[in-house]
Amino acid sequence: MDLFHTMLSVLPEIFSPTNLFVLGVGVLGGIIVGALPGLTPTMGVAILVPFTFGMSPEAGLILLGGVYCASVYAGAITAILFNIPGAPANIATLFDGHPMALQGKGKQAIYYATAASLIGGLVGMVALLLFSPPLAAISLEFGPAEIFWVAMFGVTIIASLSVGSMIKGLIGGAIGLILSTVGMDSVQGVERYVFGSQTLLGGIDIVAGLIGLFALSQVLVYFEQIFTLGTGTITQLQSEEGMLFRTLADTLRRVRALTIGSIVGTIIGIIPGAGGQVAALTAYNEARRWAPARERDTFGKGNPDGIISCEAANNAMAGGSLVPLFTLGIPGSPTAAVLLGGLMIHGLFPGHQLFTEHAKVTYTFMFAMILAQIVMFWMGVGITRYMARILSVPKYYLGPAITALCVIGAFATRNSMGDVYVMTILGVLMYLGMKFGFSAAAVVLGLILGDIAENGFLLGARIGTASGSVTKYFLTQPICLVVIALVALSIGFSLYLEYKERGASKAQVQAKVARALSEVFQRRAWWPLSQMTMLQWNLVLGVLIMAGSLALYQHTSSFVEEPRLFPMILIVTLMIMSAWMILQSLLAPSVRATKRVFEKWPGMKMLLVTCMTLAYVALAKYLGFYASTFLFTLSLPLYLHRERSAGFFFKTLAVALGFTGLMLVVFRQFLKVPTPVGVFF
Amino acid sequence: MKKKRMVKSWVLFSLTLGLALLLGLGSAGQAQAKYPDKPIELMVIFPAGGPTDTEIRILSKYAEKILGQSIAVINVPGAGGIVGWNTIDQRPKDGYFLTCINLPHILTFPMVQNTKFNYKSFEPLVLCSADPTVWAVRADSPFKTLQDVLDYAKKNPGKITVGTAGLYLAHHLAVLQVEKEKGLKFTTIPFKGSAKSMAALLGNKIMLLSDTLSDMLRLGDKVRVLAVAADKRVSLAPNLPTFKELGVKAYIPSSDRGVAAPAGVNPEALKVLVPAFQKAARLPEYQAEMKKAGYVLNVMTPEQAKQAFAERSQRLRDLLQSLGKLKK
Repeated sequence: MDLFHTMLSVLPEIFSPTNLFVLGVGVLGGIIVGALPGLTPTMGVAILVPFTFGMSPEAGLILLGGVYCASVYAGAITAILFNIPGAPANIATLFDGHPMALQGKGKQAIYYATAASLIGGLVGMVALLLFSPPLAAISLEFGPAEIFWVAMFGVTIIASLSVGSMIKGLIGGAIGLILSTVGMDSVQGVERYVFGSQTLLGGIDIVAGLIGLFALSQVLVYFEQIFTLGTGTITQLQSEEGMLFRTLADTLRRVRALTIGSIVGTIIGIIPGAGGQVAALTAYNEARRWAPARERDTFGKGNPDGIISCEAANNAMAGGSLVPLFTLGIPGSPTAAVLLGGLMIHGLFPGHQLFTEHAKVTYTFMFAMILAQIVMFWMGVGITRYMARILSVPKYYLGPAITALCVIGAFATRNSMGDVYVMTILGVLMYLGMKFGFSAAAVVLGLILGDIAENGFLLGARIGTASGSVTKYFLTQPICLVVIALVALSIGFSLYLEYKERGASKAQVQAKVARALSEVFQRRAWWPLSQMTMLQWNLVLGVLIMAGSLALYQHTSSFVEEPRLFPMILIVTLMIMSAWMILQSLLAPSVRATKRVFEKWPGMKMLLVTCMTLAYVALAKYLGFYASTFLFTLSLPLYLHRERSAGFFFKTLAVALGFTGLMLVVFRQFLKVPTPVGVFF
Repeated sequence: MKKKRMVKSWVLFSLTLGLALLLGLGSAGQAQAKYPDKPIELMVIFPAGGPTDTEIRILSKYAEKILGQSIAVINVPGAGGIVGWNTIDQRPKDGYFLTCINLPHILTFPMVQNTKFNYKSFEPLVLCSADPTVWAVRADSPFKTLQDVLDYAKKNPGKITVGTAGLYLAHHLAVLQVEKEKGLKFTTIPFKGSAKSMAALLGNKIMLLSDTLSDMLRLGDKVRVLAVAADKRVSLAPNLPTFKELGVKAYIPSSDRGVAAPAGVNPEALKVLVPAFQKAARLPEYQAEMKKAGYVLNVMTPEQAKQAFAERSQRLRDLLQSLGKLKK
């Protein structure tokens, strides 16, 4: 009862005008940070921590909490509108969100995401408020072995996400996993694949990887579309009367997706280290698995359940990840770790005193987070109108602007120009990879999970050795068994789907096989490259990947035992996959394989655009970010848009000046995000 | 034709204008003045929001006021700090670039890794906190005292799993020292950061945790601290026995943090920076805030810091050499 009194006594505090204002500012700021690709929730909170120095503990925490909740949500907006997730937690949102946007239902998709975020967020917060102690006990059960299996479960999601081209999904995932091993290994301090580079020594930054693989590659796709489809907007928006309330009501009716999302999000949120990215993907995967068979095929093509499940999950995760922080003083996610810094500055030790000595401030924070969900919902709905309008900006302005945000985002986490180069290289390679049917999601997932999996395995193996048996340690503990069962279920399910997919188109495949084979071997259309079919490319890529993995094998075999194990397993996997790809292209070509990959591809123009992008990135170091951005946002639209008139020139000049100026004000003056500084500014 | 030429001239005009603007902005405020006349950069080699970052940001908040210039904290994390510190030689030595320093990191990393720095690359301005290394077990552990741990380890070599927050940090070196002195063998589990090693202890995944005192105080009665590495009992927790009292003689480092300039920094700047940071670290408001945030204060002057570098470096080198861990 005493506790209840404390809870109630803080309510007037929250509804004080100052705190409500702070909450509003925090939520709005969070939405903006979240919606900018590259500025993740973690960075949003980190940027704001110094701002809270001068505030009362309550106001400071309300600000941080508001930013945290809102930024997790707002990453969905860019995922839906541009196919660019605002943060790793929003990767799964784009699978169904962007297809909806392309169908003109972008606004509706954002409403689904907003409503699901509200509900998921509330579930997470209520769990935090009411069930913290038991949930914290569960979270502690996840040691290295359990976390290894959770990561393995994530890897199986890669397979199931790429049904239909499973082999390419798996190769992409394996490449992502190998990328995650770059840098100094944490178990023995050995340098792996560093080649003397300082950037690589620190490893491939997940944010830089995410931005390159998703955002920059997508921008290059936009540029290509300008050449092939003409200058235009990404999609047209349809708007109907009463859509908001119809969508909200529909969201509430989709109980299955909401429940799966909220529960999966809360639970995965409390597992230390797994974080929101895994939460949302798992929820998406489960929502698809539990959907009725007839609906399952609509996932990935704009099924609202896809959006709802992962947005409910990543917002529920926000509450879940605070459970270990508040009850034990141990942050469950990178953002929670930053929040811990903010809490400590205000003299709040998360942990044992938080619910006793500091109960008042703690409950203020929790209620403020709940209120933040509601404020976030209404602000999100209000902002959607303007956000969606960005879609009506022509691609030749939008593309360069997004590129500039990519550079800032990649630079800001570690203040490293090297990360910007890594981002750019990954982006260009991913753009090419997408042509061959590889998915960015698989690579990013590998990049995120690799570190978790390897660390879990090696540490678990050490503990297992000390306790007598490694196999027993990994295979007989109760939680391990549960997760292993999930892994098996997930593999079985994706094999079933892959098989079904095959079966459905078998007749067609057979009909086309003969033709495809004759394309390859009889007409010998290996030149020009634009005439090569996917089948031929698969063969070429298979051989290239095989050669690459052999070279990597050679290099890796010189590492010492522990740091060598995980990369070796991956490289051998990659070899098997590439062998499979070679065989598949020779023996069992599928119907998709007859497509000519580079037919009508504006190669020279794309080369030029890519070079301009590279020049922009390179110049940022010498001229300074803003000067370089100005030149880039001025010159590229002039090239892309074939109109040579003074009117267009001045319009572009105004856009470039305005955009650069806006960036200067927002990033340098307001958010104080560091940018590359060269000769100018 | 005419139109085309017009466009051309407009392009030229705008480009010139743009360039002029850029040059103007770039060269503004280059006049010489008394140090410091522009914001100072302070590099933190851990991610934003971590314990080092938080501590440095609190300190710089007070140092800013004394210096009369703003301090911009920039985070350059990677490879446990090596990535950031590796750049120290190329950084400006005009006093506008500072970095955080962590001990024993800057002492041990150059001994075991290929780094582009060693402790002599830094000109310390202040060391502000020293967090003693402690060994702790879960509150319900059968190990009641340090002696219980040592006895069990003697009978069961390699059976005791001990978690640390990473390699060659104070927590890890403590394990190496005890192993060497008592002829024992532990299984070291290097987690990525103390959040994960603490969770592993509370979840009963490891038997022993080597960590800092401030972390353990935050966990409260969920853990039992067996020993603190300090010369005499610490005022924050006077009831905790020291390793020395319990018969461990070897040197076990604490985790210290401070601020430094690159070695060879402009002496004029140093004359301003040292007193400013020394004063900031001794302000009662600063110290109160640090205590509230759970840090263990121990302010050292640059001379004391340099002496500590040299002494500790020698002791740790001896340890790593005897274990064959020094880089070739």
